[in-house]
Amino acid sequence: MDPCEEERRAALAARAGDTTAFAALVEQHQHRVFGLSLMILRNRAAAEEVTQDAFVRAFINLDRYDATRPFYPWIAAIAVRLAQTWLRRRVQYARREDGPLDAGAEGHADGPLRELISDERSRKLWSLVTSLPRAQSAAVFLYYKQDMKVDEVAQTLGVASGTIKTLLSRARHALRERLEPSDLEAIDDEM
Amino acid sequence: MKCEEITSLIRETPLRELPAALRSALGRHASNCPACERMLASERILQTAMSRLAEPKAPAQLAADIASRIAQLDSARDSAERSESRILATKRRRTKLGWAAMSLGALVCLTCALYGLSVGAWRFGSPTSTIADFAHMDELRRMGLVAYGLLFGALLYLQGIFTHSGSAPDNPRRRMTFPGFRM
Repeated sequence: MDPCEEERRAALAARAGDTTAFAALVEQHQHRVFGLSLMILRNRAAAEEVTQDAFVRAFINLDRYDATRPFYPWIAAIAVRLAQTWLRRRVQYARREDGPLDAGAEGHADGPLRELISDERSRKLWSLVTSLPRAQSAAVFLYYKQDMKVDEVAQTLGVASGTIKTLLSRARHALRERLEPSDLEAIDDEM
Repeated sequence: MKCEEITSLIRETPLRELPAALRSALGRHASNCPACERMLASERILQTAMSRLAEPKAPAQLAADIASRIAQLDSARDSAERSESRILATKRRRTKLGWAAMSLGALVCLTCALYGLSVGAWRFGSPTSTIADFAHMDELRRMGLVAYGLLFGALLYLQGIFTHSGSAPDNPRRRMTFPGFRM
């Protein structure tokens, strides 16, 4: 069966209250949603929390899901909104407490990232992308890694398509400058 | 195509977004222009690198945690539905009880009034002609007049009930209220 059709059926069954069908959707998309949340939040615990909340919110609002479209962009948009709220709250909290943001919790910290990505080169690339501004890294992740179209990325991040093209162009420019020639050669060898 | 055009095109637009015709024109130009070929190759490598970006695995217990939160949500929803249906049943019972009490009250009023009216009319003529000298009436006459008033009041009350019940059929915010009954 076509994966989209399968997904659509699962979503419709879940809408009718079938939690097993929803569990299948969770199983299918949890890594992508978690990866996206981690890319935006750069904090493992927060990414876990946001992923959980995104799926719970999706389950509650399944009647708003348009079953003619793929499920992932819809859940990714929910996760992005929750991640943005989480970041806003963190900034507000830091302002209220009159202290700096908890830099130690960022995903750049090598320890947690080492647990999540075992390969050294992938880890380096991940760190490079997460060193970009959040909107750029989210756009890069959705467009290149998750293979979404520009329009889908725009819908997921809640901005115009032109903005996504600009974000991707700036991100490529920044990465081109930051990537060492040896990394590019290694990737070229693998191609 | 000129080299400047190609440079700005490659810098501004992801290769995947370029139309096929433009991509092949770009390839044709690059095959004769080493500078553009190098730039195109480096762009391809960069985009391949990004597409090979690692996707961290979600923690093993994440799916189980989500399932447990959804199960909690389900049970909370069930219990809310049960308690809502209990509340609705109680309300319905109270409404029925209210109606029964009102009907009984109205019936008693009506019986009293008819009795008083008949006695008054039979013994003392029309009750309306005796309002002026109410103080001088004997006991039986007063009773007839009071019963007449009760009848009028009961009819007004019933009129009110019917008006209310007609205007608020299913809207819970506009459910009718009766004095002495909590809906």
